[in-house]
Amino acid sequence: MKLTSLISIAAVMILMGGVFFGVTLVQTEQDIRNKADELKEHKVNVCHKTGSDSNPWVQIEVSENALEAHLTHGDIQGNCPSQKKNDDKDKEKEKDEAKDTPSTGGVTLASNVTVVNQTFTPAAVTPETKYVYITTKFDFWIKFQGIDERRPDKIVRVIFRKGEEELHVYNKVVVTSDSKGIYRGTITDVRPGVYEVLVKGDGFLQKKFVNINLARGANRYDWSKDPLLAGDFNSDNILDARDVSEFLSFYTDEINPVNGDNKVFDLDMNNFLNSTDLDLVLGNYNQLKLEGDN
Amino acid sequence: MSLKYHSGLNRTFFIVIILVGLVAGSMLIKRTYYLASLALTPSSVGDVDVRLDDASGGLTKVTIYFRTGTNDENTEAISTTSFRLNVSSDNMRELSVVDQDGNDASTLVSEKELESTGQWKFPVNSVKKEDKIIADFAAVDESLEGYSSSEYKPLASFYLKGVGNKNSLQLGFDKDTSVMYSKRRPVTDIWEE
Repeated sequence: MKLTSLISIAAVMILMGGVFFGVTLVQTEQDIRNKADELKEHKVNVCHKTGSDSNPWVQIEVSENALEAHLTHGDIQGNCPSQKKNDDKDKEKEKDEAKDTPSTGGVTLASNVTVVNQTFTPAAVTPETKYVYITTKFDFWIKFQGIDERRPDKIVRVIFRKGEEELHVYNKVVVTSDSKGIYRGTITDVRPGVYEVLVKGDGFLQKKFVNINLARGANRYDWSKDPLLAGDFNSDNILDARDVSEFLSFYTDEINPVNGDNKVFDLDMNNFLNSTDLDLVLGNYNQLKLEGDN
Repeated sequence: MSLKYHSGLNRTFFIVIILVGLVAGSMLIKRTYYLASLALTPSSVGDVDVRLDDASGGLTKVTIYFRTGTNDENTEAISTTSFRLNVSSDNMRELSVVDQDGNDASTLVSEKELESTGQWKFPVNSVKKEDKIIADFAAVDESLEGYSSSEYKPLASFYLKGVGNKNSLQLGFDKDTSVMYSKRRPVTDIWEE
């Protein structure tokens, strides 16, 4: 074979290999970015119990997968209160005030009275500052319409409300399914009291549960007999023609594999968009606007 | 022999590359054309018409017609349409919703031609009388391609008793709930206002 021919062939092979490699690299990078985004979203705030007297609680962020373990050893889901920061601020303020030159305070003194420059040492903050935390543990069970067997974890929003006031809002509560498709979640830092509780998941209408009485200690509520209704794909808490049309825009084959774009429409989470999912939605769509609980 | 053979091999490689390029290019052109067609098709091409016809027994038949474009080049495939039709009259006391036999009715009659295709479902269907007649209806085309037509086709109908003068009827669609959604562009309502 002539050298020039060999070189030509090699050049072409290198070119094709380079294009293929480049495409693969871009795709891999995008996969990594997507995975990083995915992991980033699945972090939760936890107030971590350190066991230290001087600094008993610290704010940390943990993976949702590790949440249960943290809660077991006494951590609390959510933010730590900012009392310690306020204590530090007060200390600084008192120190500054002590530096000021003492004045007569507007009082006319007799000639034989002398103002003494006295330095005041503010009382030290006791090292054993006690934090009062809510000691409720709230376990709840819910069901999603169309899911009747074990499926992957889901994320729900849970709101505790009194009257019109939303007192506690948890936007990303991880719920885990059992073998019958009943999902369990746990929340541990809710102040005791009587609430309305609103639960919403992606693709489902919001459900309200009333007269929920939270006492200190363990509280268990099984709401699985009243499933969340399927069909709210644009998260406006209304099932209407627009939700139906959004589903049908992805329903372009008898069986449509789930991907990043159409995952919310896979209501029974079997990794396919098909007529079963559509039937679930149309079964609920019996009025022009079906509103979820509010 | 070797010279001819190697020249032939080079030629083959170049032909393969050209062919690959042609295929890729044609796919890109097709995709560009598709996107351009989406942009060219105006969003407000869908249309609805209501026709009143005399029926037996002194009844008035109200038929809702629809189309998804005004001509074959200007037509959009749809997946879902719904409407709320309000009917009022100067003589509401006499007006009532009935079936073709004059008996009280609470639903519209969906078009048989659409039903017979097996592709349509009508999940919302009710007619009631309050201070006016309110007819709620939704039609869903479950086919993979959607439905399109540049001619008016009947969608649903109902009957009224006690109309008197047809000109006394006032009909209007509720804008919020009267929609016609594109199959390809699901958030686009093509119902012409």
